[in-house]
Amino acid sequence: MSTALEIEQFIVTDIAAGRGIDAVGHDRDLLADGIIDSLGITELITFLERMYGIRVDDDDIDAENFRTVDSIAAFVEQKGA
Amino acid sequence: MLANVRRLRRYLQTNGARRTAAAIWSRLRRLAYLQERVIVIVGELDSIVVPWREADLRLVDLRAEHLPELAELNRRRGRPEVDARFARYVADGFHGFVAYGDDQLVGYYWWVDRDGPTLFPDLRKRWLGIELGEGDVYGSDFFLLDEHRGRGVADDFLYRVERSLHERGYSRLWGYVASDNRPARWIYSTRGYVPMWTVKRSRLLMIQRTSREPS
Repeated sequence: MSTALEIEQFIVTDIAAGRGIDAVGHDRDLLADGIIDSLGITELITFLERMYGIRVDDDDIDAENFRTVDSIAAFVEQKGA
Repeated sequence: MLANVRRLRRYLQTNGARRTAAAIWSRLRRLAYLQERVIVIVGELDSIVVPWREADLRLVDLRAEHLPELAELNRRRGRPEVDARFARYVADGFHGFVAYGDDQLVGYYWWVDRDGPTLFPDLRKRWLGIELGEGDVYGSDFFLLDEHRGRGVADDFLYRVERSLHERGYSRLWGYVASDNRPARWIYSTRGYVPMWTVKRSRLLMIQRTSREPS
C-alpha cells in the first residue's frame, strides 16, 4: 500500500472516525473541511512518527505540510529522505 | 514587601496550604531555572480566514463584572493563582473577550493596543521584541476549556476575536506561542498567522540569556 493510501486510511478510520467519512481523496483540503483540527494534528503526527520512523519537529507544524493527503505523504518522504 | 505578604496570606486563605506551597515552589524553580523557546506571530486582520464551522459560542467584551466567573473558570482548570493577575489586568485597563457556550463562561482572550494606559507585562519586559505600531494589537492568554476543544471551536473563537478587533479598526494582531505547544501552533498556522521570529530565553540562577532569530 502506498504512503498516501496508508495516511488516507488512518485519517478516515481514526481522525475522522464517527463523522460518516468513507474516503477523503488525496487532494481534498483537510483544513477547509475541518477534518484535521488541533487535536487531530497531534494524533496524526504520532501516527506518522510511529509508522514511518520520522521525527516531526515543532517547527514542522505548518498548515501547508498537512493540508492534503498528498502534501502529508510528500512531507513524510522529505523527512525520511 | 508588605504587599507581597498580604498577597501570600490572601492566596493561602483562598487556596489552602498545599496549593500555596506548590505555587511557591513553582515560582522559586522558575526564578532559578528557565529554558523556553517561543515564536512571535502576526496575523493580518484584513484577510481573516473564515473557519470551516461556526461554533455555538457568544463573544462578550471582558469587564470587571466577569471576574467572579473567570475565577470559577480558573478553579476548574486548576489555575486559581491567575485570578489576581486578571484583576490587575482589568484595573490596568487591558481589554479582553470572554466566550460563552451554553450560557457558561468557557474561555477568554486578552488584548491591548499601543494606546493603553500601561503596557501589557509581556511587552513591558521587551523580551518578545514586539513594538506595536498604528493599527497593531497584541493578543495574549488565549484559553478555552478542555471539554470545549475540538470540532473547530477554538478556531471559531479566534475568528470571532479577529473579526471583532478588525471591526474596531485594527489591521494586525501580534502574539506569541510556545514552540512546543503543537495544538496552538496548528490553530495559528491554519488561521494564517505568520511566524516572525523565535525568542530563546534561558536562566540559571542569576544568569539570563535572551536571543532572537528570524523564523
